[in-house]
Amino acid sequence: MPSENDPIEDDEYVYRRVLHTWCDLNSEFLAHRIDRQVFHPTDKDKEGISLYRALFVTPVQVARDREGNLGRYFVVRLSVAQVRALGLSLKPDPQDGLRGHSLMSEIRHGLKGEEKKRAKELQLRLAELASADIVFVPPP
Amino acid sequence: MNNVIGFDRGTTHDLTNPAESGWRAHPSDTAWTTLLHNVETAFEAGDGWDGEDADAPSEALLASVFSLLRQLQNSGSPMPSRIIPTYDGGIVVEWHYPDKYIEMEIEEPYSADVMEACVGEPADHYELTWRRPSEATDYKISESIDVQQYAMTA
Repeated sequence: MPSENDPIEDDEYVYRRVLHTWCDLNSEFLAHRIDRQVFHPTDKDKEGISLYRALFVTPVQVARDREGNLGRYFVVRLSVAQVRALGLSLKPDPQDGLRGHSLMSEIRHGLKGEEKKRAKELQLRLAELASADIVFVPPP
Repeated sequence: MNNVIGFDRGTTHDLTNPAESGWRAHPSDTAWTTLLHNVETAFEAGDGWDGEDADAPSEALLASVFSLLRQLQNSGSPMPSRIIPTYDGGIVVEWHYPDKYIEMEIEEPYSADVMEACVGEPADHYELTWRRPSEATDYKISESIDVQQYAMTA
């Protein structure tokens, strides 16, 4: 039985929740169906942005909003190996609530200057990867 | 770079229809302003437009984006691919091409952080500013964006 504290392996997948505003299934280019804003850190992401390990949760669980409803969020899936190939890290960070929480510390709130620019590029690359693997589309 | 989405760098351009009375005062630009749907929705919904804690773009920011779009449109620039609100109350204007991505991230009125990213190359970053309509009868773009040349391949 895997533990949420186990190191994250290269052959795992992680999920990221996608606000509908930042997903365009009709985008002319496949690589831009998901916008990089999906990976933009908020002021809550001081330690890094959140992703959820597919070993512990389903896309539907990730897609639910605060009230438990579906409709507002898509879900994308990323290969851990591909994430690491970009030079990004993922570390387990179990929390109350949704299981399988992990952190990507290179993309976090408060970056300035060159670090911020680099983070924006990485957000774009993550969005391109995510655009190819949208695993949950909310009901109309 | 010589083109500013259709402008030559450093050239002063007349703004024949400034958005001084507000960004919603020019309904004729149907195709371009349709792109503003997402940011308009966020503006009208106010803070928490995402259902959680996102800040809404301010009217001043929207006005500045509208002014920018009018300049781009008047210059014959390719229409942006997407215009979206950010979590922090900003607005991003994007152009998508097979081998290139360009964005202007506007977090303060009349100023944008530009990122141009080509496949397989480090991105280029720089700042773009433009004047408020009340400050002058014309505008000068202080930086340039090499978008025009990609219009033919979009």
